[in-house]
Formats: sequence, C-alpha cells, structure tokens
Amino acid sequence: MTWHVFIKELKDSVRDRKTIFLSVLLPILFNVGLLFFLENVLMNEKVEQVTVAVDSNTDPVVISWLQELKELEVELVDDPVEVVKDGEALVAFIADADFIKKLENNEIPSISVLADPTSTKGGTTQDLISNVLTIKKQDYIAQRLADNNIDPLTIEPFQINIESISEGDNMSLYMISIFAQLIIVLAVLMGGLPAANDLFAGEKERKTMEALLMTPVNRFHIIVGKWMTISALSMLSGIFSCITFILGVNLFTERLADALQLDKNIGFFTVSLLIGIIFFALLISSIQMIISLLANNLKEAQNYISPITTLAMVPYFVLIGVSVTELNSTHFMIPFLNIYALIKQLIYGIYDVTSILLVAGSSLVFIIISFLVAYAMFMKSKWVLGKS
Amino acid sequence: MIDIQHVSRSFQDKKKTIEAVKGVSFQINKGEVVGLLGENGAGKTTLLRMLSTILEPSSGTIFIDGINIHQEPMKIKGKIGVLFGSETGLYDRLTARENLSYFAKLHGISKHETKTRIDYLAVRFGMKDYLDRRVGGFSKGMRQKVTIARALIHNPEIILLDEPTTGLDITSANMFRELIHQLRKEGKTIIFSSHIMEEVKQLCESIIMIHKGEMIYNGTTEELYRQEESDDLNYIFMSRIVRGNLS
Repeated sequence: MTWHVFIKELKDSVRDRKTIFLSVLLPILFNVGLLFFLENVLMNEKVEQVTVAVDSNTDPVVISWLQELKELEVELVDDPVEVVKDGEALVAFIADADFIKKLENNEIPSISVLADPTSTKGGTTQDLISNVLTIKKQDYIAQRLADNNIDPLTIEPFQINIESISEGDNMSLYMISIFAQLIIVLAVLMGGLPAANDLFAGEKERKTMEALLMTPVNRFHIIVGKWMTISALSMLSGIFSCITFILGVNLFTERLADALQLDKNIGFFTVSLLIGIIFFALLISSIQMIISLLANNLKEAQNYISPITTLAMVPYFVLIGVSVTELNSTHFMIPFLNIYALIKQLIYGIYDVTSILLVAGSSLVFIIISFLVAYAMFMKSKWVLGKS
Repeated sequence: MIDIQHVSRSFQDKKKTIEAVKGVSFQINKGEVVGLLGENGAGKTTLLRMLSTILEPSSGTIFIDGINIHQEPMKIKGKIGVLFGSETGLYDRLTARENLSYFAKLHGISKHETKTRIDYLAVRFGMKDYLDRRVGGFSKGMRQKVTIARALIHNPEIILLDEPTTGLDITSANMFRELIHQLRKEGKTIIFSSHIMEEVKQLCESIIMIHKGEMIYNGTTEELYRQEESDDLNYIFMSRIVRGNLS
C-alpha cells in the first residue's frame, strides 16, 4: 500500500507547478545567476576606476602620487567631503598645500583620506591610497636615514612573513565551498516544501485527508508513502542542483573550474555527497511533515515553515568562518551543521570515511526521532484532521 | 446491523470542553434508510465521523455486524462508503478516473475489478465525458458525482451521507435522491443527514433527531407523524427543537 500512496503522491506533486518551479527551475536559475555573479563580479580581476575627490589646494606632488594609480580617477574639487556625501566620488582626499615644503623642513604635514565606512569599495580605495602613501613614507624614511648615515636595519630588527598554507587558487575554492553549501542545502530544503505543505496541511484543508483515512489502509503505510514522496522530491532537487552547479562551474567558469578538481576522486565525491543529501532530505522531510501536521491549512503551514527554513540557515553562517582544517567530529554529528561541514570538506578534496559515517549515523538518530513524532501526531485526530 | 451504545464525543477548544455528542444510543437494521436531522452544530457530522471510524468516541461503543469499529477499524472500513456534503475532498490535479482508481487500490480492489467498477459508475452517474479530465476544473455537481462514485467504488454495504445535496443544483440534487432510492433497492444501509425535510420525508423510513448533541427522537417517520398528529416534518422538527430547548 505504501507504494500506491507514494506513486499517487509523486504524480500529484509533480503536476503541481510550484513543485516544478522550486525543484527544477529555481535551482537552474539560482545556479546560473550565482555563477555569473561569482565569475564576472566577485572574481573579476579587471581594474575598475574609482573617483577620488581631491582638495584642489593639495600639493601637486601629492596629487601626482595618486595619479600614478591606474585604479583612481582624480578629480580636483573645492570641498571633497561634500562631493563624497553627494555620491559623486567614493573617497575624499585632503592634504596640505605645502606638503613637500613641510616635509623638507622636517615639519609633520598631514593627509586625510575620508570615505563612508559602510562602503566596501570606499574602504578598499582607502586601503589602496594608504598603501601608496606608506611606500612614499618608507622612501622618505630611507632617505632621511641615509642622510644621517644610519643603517635602515636599525629600525627593522626582524621581518614578518604572512603567507597562506594552501596551494593553488584558495580564494576560488573558498567561493565554491560557500556557494555549494548554500545551493545544495537550499535545494534540499525547498525541493520537498510544496509537497510537505500540500500532503498534510493541504489535504486537511481540502478534506482529502478524511477520505484517505476512511480507507482500510494502515496509517503507517500512508505516512510512509507521503514521507517517501517529500524525501524523494527533496533528494531530487538537491541532486539536480548539485549536478547543475558542478556542470555550471565546469562549463561557464575558468578560475572556479580550475580550482574545483573533481576528476581526481569523482567516485568518492559523488557517493559521499549522495549519502549526505539522502540523509539530510530524510531528516528535513520528517521535520516538514511535523510542521505541516501542526498547521490546519496551507497558509498556516507556509507561515510556520518560513522561520524554520531560516533557522536551518544558521549553521551555514556558523561554518562560514571555520576553515576545513578546523572541522572536527562535533561538526559532523550535529544535524544541519553536518551537511554544511560535509559539503565543505568534499569541495576541499578531503575524503574522510569517518566524517561520512558520523553524518549518516547522527542524521539517522534524528530522522528516527522526528519520524516517530510525526507518526504519533498522524495517529491523533486532533493533528491529522485539524480544526474541522 | 449498526449498534451505537451510549456514544459521547467531546472536543477541547482552548480552555473549554465542547460536548458535541452526548450519550447517544440507537440501532439501525441492514437495508434501512435513516435520516439524521438536527440544526447546524447539533452533532450530526461528529456522529457520522465516529461511524466512519475516523473519529473515536470519548465514551461508548459502536458495533457494526458485531464488530467494535474502533477496536477493529480495518475490518469495517471496507464495508463503509462516506460522503461528507459540500466538502468533496478530491485530488484536483488528478483526473476523475485517477481519483477513483487510487481509492480502489487503497481498498485492495484488483485492476480488472477497478476498471469494471469505474466504467459502471461512470455510466451510472453520467461521468463518461469527463472521466479523463482533471478534477480541478470541474463544476460542483461534477465533483459531487465523482465523490459519490468514490464512496461507492468498493461497493460498500453501509453508506454515510452528510448533507449530500447541499449546494447542488436541482438536477444534481434529484440525481442524488434517485441514487438513494436505487441504493435502497440494492439493500444498502444508508444514513444521511439533511436540512431538507421534504427530502427526508421522501427517502427515509426512520428518523433520528439530534439537538445539542442529544438524541431527541429515534423511530419511524410514521410513528413520528402519529405522535405529533401531523405529517409536516418541518413543523415537527421545529416544535421538537423548541421543546428540546425548554427541557
């Protein structure tokens, strides 16, 4: 009987345009849009010119330092701060009119570089200008030391080298990892959502649940059939999203494709990801069943499920600043957190059987608990029939 | 035979307990057509839901052919066909045939038998033209026909109809009344609730009146007319309700 219920629910669900949109079209659109953004905006190395409003009284030598930078378009104005406030420039630059003269007279001339702190581009431009000025400052220091016959090493007793331990394009891999986690988990979350809402809250609202419960079919078979449907749609959506993301990376991007070298261990990668998606889909489906059973109608179910879906994103933000080497057993044992951790690990090419077993095992425990809660609710007329 | 013994059902609504059905007892013989009369909220639907096994009584027992239906619901479900009034409860994205076929499968009917039953019911209810169309676009009358066909797909012995003609046009309502006549001839036991006294008068040989969850009459229509010295069921119903309110 479970099979009959499953096949009917699947047929009913795939005929729903919402399901098709959320399971198939949305992942495609999301992946294409995201990859375009990654490759052409975030990873774009093309130099974009930024306007700097420079006080027209500034010493021409200092202005020439700024003009050396091809990233900057220098605009001489009377009130640079006002120009930035008006949005016509990103950074305001003010320096003394007799900057070089003061410098030569061993006075301390000043430079102010101002930007809106909420603007990332403004901050980056401030850093860029600051770097150039630091180099110029170092030149003057070196010159003054030489004039006074002092060895430059006197003021630099040691060197600091800050380097990455990663080989290859670490930034690209990081980008793939954070977006792959988001795309795959969101696809699993959203894929079965319309069906979960429809198969319980929707059926209560339309009174089809009553008709179903009047048939001589054990309620266990009915709930398992429905659960299989929601899980199958979540899994399909996750797998579909995963395939389109990987295909998209390989077909439409250059730097990301070079960083994501799946051909080295594609078999292990596929099986591990599949296990992660299947267990996560089973878990999220049983939780979605509980929420749908709590609701009396579709609208209520949608209201309940939105905050839960948002909560499921919390582990993503927890893990965003955690490097792959920092991941430990706890990360793989906590539901929701474990799927993000697993995807991150796999993207970085770490294939660890223990992590996969921990994900599967811990998920299984929570799947059993949440399914039993859903089943207990399904056995009670209060939840299964709602306010009718 | 249906034997209802001291059945009560209460619901918890926030801090209040609502007694929808209070200690109702009656018997219905095989092949009898019984009208269930009562105002809105009197407890008719709750009683029918308990009979259909989807709601359990808070107290009391219901036996059908000697089987306690809430202890062994699976033995009984196949014997009952249910139609809950205006709430047709069909799957809109499935065709009429797919709806019927699904419920036939759930009742464990073979493929061949399902086809025969669907063909028979399609002819009987004039559904042949729209049998393979999705239910979502159906009119209320068309939906109601599919719903009653679904209730009869497994050829049940007992049919529970909760205000089946509510909201239907005259043609569809007459079709239903004709159907109940035919089902009676076939020896089916039918319990149906209705607001339409003329309908009850035409179709039922027995009446059960419920008021505020309590049974205020159970007997034949003839006996009721004799007791009230009138055959105006509308008048009888109203005077019984007034007496029920006063007592």
